[in-house]
Amino acid sequence: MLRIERVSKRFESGTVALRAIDLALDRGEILGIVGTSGSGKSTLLRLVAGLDRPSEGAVLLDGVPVTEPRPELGLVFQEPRLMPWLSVRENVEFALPGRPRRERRARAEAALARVGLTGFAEALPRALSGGMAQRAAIARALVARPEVLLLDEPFSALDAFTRMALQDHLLGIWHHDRPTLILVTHDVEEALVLSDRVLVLRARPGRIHAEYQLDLPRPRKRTDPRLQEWKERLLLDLDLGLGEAPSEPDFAI
Amino acid sequence: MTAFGRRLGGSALGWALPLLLLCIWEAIAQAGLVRANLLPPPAAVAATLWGLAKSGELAEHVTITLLRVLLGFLLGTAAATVLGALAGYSGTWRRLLDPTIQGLRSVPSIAWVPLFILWLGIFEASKITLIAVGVFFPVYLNLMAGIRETDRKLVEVARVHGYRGLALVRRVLLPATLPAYVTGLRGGLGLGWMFVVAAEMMGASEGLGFLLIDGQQTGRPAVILTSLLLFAVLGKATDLVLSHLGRRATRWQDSYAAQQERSADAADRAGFQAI
Repeated sequence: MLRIERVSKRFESGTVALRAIDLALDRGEILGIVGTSGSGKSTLLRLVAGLDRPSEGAVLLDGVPVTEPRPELGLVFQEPRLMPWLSVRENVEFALPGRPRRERRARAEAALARVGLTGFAEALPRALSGGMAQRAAIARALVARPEVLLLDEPFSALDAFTRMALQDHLLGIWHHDRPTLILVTHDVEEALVLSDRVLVLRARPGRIHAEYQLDLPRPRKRTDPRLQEWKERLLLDLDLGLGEAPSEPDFAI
Repeated sequence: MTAFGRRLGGSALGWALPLLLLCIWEAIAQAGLVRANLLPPPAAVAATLWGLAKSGELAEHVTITLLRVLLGFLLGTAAATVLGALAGYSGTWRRLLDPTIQGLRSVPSIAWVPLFILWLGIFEASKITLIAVGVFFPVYLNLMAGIRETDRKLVEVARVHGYRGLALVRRVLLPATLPAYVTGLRGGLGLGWMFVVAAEMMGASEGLGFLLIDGQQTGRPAVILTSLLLFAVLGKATDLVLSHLGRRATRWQDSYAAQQERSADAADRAGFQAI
């Protein structure tokens, strides 16, 4: 349903962030993308979301090129990015422009209930903890019922416990709606616990280095020895440059 | 202490210094340290104020001055809002407008007076225009900066959800800019009061600025002091109105001052429950 065809992205500075990425996703699939900073994983997600245009190639959703943001594509950023002047509920309603007030409200309340924030609907974002704010951001991305949910390192700013709780939470949501998920992360374990398939991107230029199909049943135990094996292979693939330190600066996007 | 009580206590503290100054002033007058025709005692100023109020002159002077400030403020704010929004929102407009406006800003605003009088006459039009010029710059600058400094990340969220053009302005840029705008308005109002004095001192037959000149030319320092006092009170009162409105509109702001206020309130509630 989602196809990425020979997509390249060159920035005005001349940096090639992505070169000739080919990728196809099935409906309801969870795809994890891992890579070091500068590997173009966030850039790829922004292209899929329609926030940026590829320099070459195309992103196709059900055969239609994505050239700008679309309601079928939900996006969760690394930070919650809630409007500080809107209540939590209004922030979720923000994702439903043009809908009747009553429908907006009902859907926002339902989305907040799904992420366990019913009691905080009328609070301002500043009253939320980091994990709660990110849950509100997920509710905002879900409320428009996107077919594809794009997550750009959504839990990386959270502490380890909150991160694990939200990973489980995300799986719960996925079991309920079965959206297609693309999860960009630099946390290998996170990718392994959640994904059906994991891509490893490498930098300079950003390209797909390896692809793994994970045929482990869900829910997966983080302590599963098979997971640990995968983890070691992925860490090797990531080429963290422990032997030969890269001299060029990293361009984190 | 309740929130109300503390607020009252806070403003009581604010009154302490003026009252102390008043006492010193009275003491100096009593001791005869300065001649009364240079520094009249507080009682003389109060009597002047009372006299002006009783004759109805006071209301006239205050009304006309307030009216000039208000009209100039509205005019200057309107122009600054339109141009500031254009220059903040669009790079093309900014490159077109901003150098000229910054250039005009370097002209000391009082320097416009001769031109305005020549063009607009010595009556209300030139005065109000001068005040509007004073109000314009802080409002323009703050609004433009506010729009430009709006968090790009929030704008991106709006784009993801399909907001464009006017909807983007109304739902994101406007609320995000409001705090800077209110700062600009308050600065503009302050300059408005400055310029009304300049305008009224330069040729007027009524108004608080005229009262100043009148007091000087007729050698009545009590009149000058009365006028100064009224400027202080009116300036502070109008600023209070603006800051109050501004605070209501920007209550969401997570600034240090807001934090202080909230935690004090929370401490009050906690204290209340403990009792």
